[in-house]
Amino acid sequence: MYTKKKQTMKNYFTTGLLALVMLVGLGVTSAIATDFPKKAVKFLIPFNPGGQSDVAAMLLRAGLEEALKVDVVPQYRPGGGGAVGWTMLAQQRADGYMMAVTNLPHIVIQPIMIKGVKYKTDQLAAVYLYAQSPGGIAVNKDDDRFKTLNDLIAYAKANPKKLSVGGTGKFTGNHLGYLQFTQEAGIDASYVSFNGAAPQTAAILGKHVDAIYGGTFIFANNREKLRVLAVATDAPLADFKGVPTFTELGIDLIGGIDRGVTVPAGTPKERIDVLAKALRFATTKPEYKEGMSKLGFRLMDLGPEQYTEFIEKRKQQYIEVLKKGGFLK
Amino acid sequence: MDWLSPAVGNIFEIKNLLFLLAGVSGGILVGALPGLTGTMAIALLVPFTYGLSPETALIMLGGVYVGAMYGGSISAILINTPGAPAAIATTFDGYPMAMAGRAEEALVTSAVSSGIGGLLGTMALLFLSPLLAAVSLRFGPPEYFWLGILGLTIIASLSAKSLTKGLFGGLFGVLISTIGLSPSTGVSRLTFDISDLLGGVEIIVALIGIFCIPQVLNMTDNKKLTEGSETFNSQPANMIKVTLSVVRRWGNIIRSSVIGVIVGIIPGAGGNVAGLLSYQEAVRASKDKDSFGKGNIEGVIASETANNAEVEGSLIPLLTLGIPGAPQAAVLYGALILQGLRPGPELFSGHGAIITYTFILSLFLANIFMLIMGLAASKYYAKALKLPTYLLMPLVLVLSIIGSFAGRNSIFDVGIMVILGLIAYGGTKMSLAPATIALGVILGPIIERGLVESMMLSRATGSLVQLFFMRPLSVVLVAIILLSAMWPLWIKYKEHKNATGSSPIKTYAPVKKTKGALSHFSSNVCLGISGLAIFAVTLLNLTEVDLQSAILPKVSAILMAMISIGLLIKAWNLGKEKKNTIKAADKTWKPGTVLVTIFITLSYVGLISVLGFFSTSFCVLVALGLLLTPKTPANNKLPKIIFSAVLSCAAFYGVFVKLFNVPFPTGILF
Repeated sequence: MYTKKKQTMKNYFTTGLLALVMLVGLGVTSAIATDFPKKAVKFLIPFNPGGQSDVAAMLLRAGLEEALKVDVVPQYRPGGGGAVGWTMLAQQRADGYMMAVTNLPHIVIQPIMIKGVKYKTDQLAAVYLYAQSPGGIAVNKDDDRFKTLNDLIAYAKANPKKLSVGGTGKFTGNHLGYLQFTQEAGIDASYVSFNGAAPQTAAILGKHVDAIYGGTFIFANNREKLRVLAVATDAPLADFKGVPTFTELGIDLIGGIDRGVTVPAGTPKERIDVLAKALRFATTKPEYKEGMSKLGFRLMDLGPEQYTEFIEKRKQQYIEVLKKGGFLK
Repeated sequence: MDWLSPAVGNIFEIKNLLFLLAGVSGGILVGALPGLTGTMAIALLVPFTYGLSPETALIMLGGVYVGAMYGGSISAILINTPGAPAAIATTFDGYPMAMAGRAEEALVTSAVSSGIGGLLGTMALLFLSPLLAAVSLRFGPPEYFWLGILGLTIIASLSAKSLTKGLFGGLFGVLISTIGLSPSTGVSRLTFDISDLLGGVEIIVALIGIFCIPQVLNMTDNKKLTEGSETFNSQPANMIKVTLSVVRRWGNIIRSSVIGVIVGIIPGAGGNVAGLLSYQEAVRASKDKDSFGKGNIEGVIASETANNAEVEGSLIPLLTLGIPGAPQAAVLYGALILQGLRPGPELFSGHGAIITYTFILSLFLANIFMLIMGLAASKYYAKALKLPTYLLMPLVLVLSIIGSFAGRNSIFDVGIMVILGLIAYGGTKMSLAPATIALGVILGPIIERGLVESMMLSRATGSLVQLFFMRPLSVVLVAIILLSAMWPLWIKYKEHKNATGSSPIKTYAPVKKTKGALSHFSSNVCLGISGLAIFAVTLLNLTEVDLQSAILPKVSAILMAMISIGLLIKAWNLGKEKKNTIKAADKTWKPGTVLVTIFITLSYVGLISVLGFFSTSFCVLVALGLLLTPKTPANNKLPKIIFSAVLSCAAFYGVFVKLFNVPFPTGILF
């Protein structure tokens, strides 16, 4: 207890000193960098070890430790598609000593759509957005009915409900992408929600569903057996030569899973900046870049302000899709 | 076959051999500790393998996978708690063997069967991959549903004495598995507005509670144990004799390996299902069904052969199609990709083939290492049972707390574990086998996914009936299920026919000699009333939930209510038959020690966050140690207890905090 008090005293003191420094207009960031962090930073991963979110976080870890000069300790708190972990983050002290892997659309959709979720989107403060996993639509290569996206749409228009599209979960990135696709294309298809990418891939390879809406990463790893019809990016992907974007085909759909890092709302801005700077540093490491591209992530670089705006923009997009789909009033 | 000589060369590189050895032995340790699973260990190791060559990384991770699968059987046999979910069926006969002083024999059996199962699995991986990968794709949502139902038919074997109570337990387990977000619809169910319950009840947490807590309480309640110097005596086993007795049961081994590989190739069903299904088949194939659950070596062979064959089976769709067949394989997938290896044809041609076959061939060696290590160490593992109960039992309790915490680093999970444990303990007093609850927890998610996905799919295909009953593989599965379900009924019918004329009182006598068991009458009343209460609570909580999210919990609750009414009617009839059949509850039972133990356990859970994990654990180790010390005037055991408590806490600190980064609450003290 005594040391804690001493620390707070010291905190007051340093804060005062910092204010003084700022008044004088000297190099603020470097002064803060030496003040925070003073102990290990916890890196909350609200998913199981070994999942995509975890692997990306582990790739960031070495660079983070180098930049922050303290240990970055992974802490796993899986459950409820991340909801349990983010609830925990929202309840933490806003001192910057715990940051969490954070995915969109999850943190926007869960508080709106899932009964019992205890955190609100604005209880998480954006730090840094580092990657995207774009979505797309693919069919089995043996399936001659669907050579192009237009074949698929034409079939679905002629046969309402008959087109089965496999996704992963409901109110997830894939589900929202699927909803937006069907809304924009004006078709009535049947969504089949699988529990993760593995059963989803198995379902399309085994022809249990007609198509899948999933991450392009899955497509890349099964390129011999899948025909990718369109990807939900702003420009064609280098990894998928000859595959059009939805936008090119006249369907307004850009999306996927956006991966970033957040801290509890109310964390001092200076500390958020320190973390953001460290994250940005970590993303410049060659091992990180190489690992991420192998995993099929698109690298992103959005600081706290841009990331906050980004969340807001996405939020409007999701809410519109959910309203159109009749899930929200 | 260009890959053959470079691949063999790779395996026998000293560096690779050392990593393999480290992987297998580390895997065994992780597997043996309840709560730490192979999946977790592989995931935590993946970041460390970035710097290694692909061959070395895969060799080590494969070693962990193999080792952990076997390691789970050690705690299953010694303390009746599956170290990992896959070892659940090993507890059924492994632990009774240990109780009868045959722990070492059971451990050797497990090592040998695991080794053989793994070797046969690797053969399948090496020679049959393309064929089996094609089979795995035949499994769609309806087939998953039937696979889960097939698993449930094991209830009949687990609860030969009372099928209704077995079903009651199974349905209760299924209901527990539906708590939280529906995996298919993302809707929350039965969470009682508790945020932590959104994540559902983790299987391993449920298993630890269901198996470990009754175990701990029964140990405190056993006079012979608390007075004797060692928990169980353990006779040395002749390794060669046991090995031969395992090998002689080749029919069981082959059948179990086949089941293991097939379950392995199906994504979404893991080692636990493999072990359970092959156990079921072993029971059915045996002429002496009554000996199962009482220490039949066949049970251990079936479970362990199958779960280790499942390891290699799960790698088949991973390597050929990029679809991991089990959670462990899913984590390996990440490791493969980070090494720049894309599953599929690329892995089987050119340079990729050398790496792939190095990995596959290294699995042979991993299984052989595991077999040798298991054989050599069985003697020492069995020694754990030589610890006096006042040292062993508190340790098991602390381990179960650690195990339930470590998965999700959540004190809430510890609470769930203890509550489920107390329910399961209560169940044992009413001749409800805890294993049936565990079965429901494991199979519930598979059944639910299959059912709800099929419902979603039927919107496109137009007919649910067609999906469930007219696909070729579905028909085969339905036939097997009918066979499985009818078989025990047929046996019962035959027994009944033979037994006509004997006094009806015999069938109503309390089952087994469980201490403090309730009479048939009162246990029926208790279960019936709780069943109806669970039914009411479930339905009340599902009023605003849509059909697809609510169907499995609703159907389970309704079935449970029907069974409960049946139990109550039976109780009513028993009551009418007057006193001669209503045996009073076991009056000789003095639950003093048990109640004190429960009190200590609950305070333990409550105080961990307040005082800190290690200080509380230390106090619990000492307090329970003293409570269980023989009352006969003897030398003071306190120094010994304190010494062992310090030693255990230090060991836990080293393994869990330093090695696995488990963030135990530190509280006010430590």
